[in-house]
Amino acid sequence: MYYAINSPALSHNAFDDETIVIHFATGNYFSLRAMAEAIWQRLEKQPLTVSAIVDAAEGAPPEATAEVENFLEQLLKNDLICESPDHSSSESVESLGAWRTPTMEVFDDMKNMLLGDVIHDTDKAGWPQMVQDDQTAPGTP
Amino acid sequence: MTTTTTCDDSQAALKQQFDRVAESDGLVERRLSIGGRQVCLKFAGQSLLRRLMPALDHHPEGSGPAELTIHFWDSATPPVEYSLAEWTGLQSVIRPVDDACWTLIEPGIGLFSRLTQDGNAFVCCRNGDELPVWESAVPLRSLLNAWFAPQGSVVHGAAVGNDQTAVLLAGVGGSGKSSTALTCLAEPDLYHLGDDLVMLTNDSQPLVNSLYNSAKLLPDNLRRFSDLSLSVNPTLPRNPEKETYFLFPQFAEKLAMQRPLKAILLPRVSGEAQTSLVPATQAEAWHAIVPVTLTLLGGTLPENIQSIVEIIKRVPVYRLDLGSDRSGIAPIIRRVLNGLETEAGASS
Repeated sequence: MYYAINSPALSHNAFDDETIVIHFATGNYFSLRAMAEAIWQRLEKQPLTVSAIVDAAEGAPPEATAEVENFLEQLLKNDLICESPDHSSSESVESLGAWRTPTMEVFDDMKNMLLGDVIHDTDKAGWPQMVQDDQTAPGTP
Repeated sequence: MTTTTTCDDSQAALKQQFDRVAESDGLVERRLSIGGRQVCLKFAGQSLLRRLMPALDHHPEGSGPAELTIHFWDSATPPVEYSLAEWTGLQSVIRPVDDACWTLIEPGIGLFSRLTQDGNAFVCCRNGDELPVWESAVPLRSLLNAWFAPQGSVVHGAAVGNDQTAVLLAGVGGSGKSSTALTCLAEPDLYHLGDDLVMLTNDSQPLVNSLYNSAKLLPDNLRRFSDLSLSVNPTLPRNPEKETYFLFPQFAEKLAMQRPLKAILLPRVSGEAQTSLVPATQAEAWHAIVPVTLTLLGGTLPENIQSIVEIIKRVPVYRLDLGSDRSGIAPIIRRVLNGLETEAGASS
């Protein structure tokens, strides 16, 4: 199975040693560092398979395949990547450097704060109403 | 006033509603230059004029043709008859601009905002007299944010500067942005560009633009700034938990409209006596700016996020560890503004 970045749903930016990915529909955002960032950068170039990723890491241990699968599963679950119909990409991937377990930090604080503005009804005149129409300032904990 | 709600959400239908209210309640027109762009604000009736203008009154009068004309009116019924699903559909966190318009609904306060691509905007409120003071402190933030995309973005942060440049102070509530900005207000050579939200634009150089002359302070902090004699606007409701003060006209000569952005500072209360500056990463700036900005705006456009990222990458970022001795803050701000920070970026 090939996986590709779900570009239409995302904004992703690489900084000094961290790539931050933000998902438009949910507002959730994700911090990728080290091996996770390296894998993401390779995915930016071409769809990849699990085996291609593992093969590109130096000194990958036997459990590396499962750990890459787990990482890609997290990306899939958060709608950051999708299964790609493009199976024509080369299996050759630029080296990922020494193997480290890829991990991702997930931030859902915006989602939680925006939930306060969810519309649940309209008033008699037709204006939408919040779950708790209590005039709380947006962003106020 | 109650206007006739229709399923027609066209620009012509919205303009017709505005014209009807303006005819009965009177029309007041104000022209402002915001971020160097000309904006015409047309108020049908007085309530939204009273609630929204105090925070914007410091902007110079606009000249030349308006690039954006905003129509304001009150209506007990919403301007467009949407189903519940359609209202909810306007609440995406981050969304692409469609071909026709940008729309935001703020259900808590009954505010409908629409920006069309021909330089018109329509802001209809359920009852302007009931708008809370926090809306009066930072009005039109999401609309202006959408209008400035992709050249710029509204960001959560305070900004202070000298007569040449400015710094953005970014961080979550309680990090010390407002108190740092107000500390600089008392300095004869420093200027105030914003307390809570400012506009960053990405021109030949990154610019920070003033949006609002309001400042919010917790009661404990107010005592620390008693020497400034800050005043509330008596025509607006009060919020004793975090009072809103308006710096215009009292501090008119201390308010700057636009400055090149010299650096981004991420303040935090250190617990130490002295204030110090240490280099920080671009990613730290992203984390300090983007999430809380999106929360305060109720969402944004991808183009706005991209403009923030591009600006972050163009200026140095420092962590500003705020000491308890307030007298040490302004000298460090000056060093950054004057480009005197050491090559390593740290000073104390």
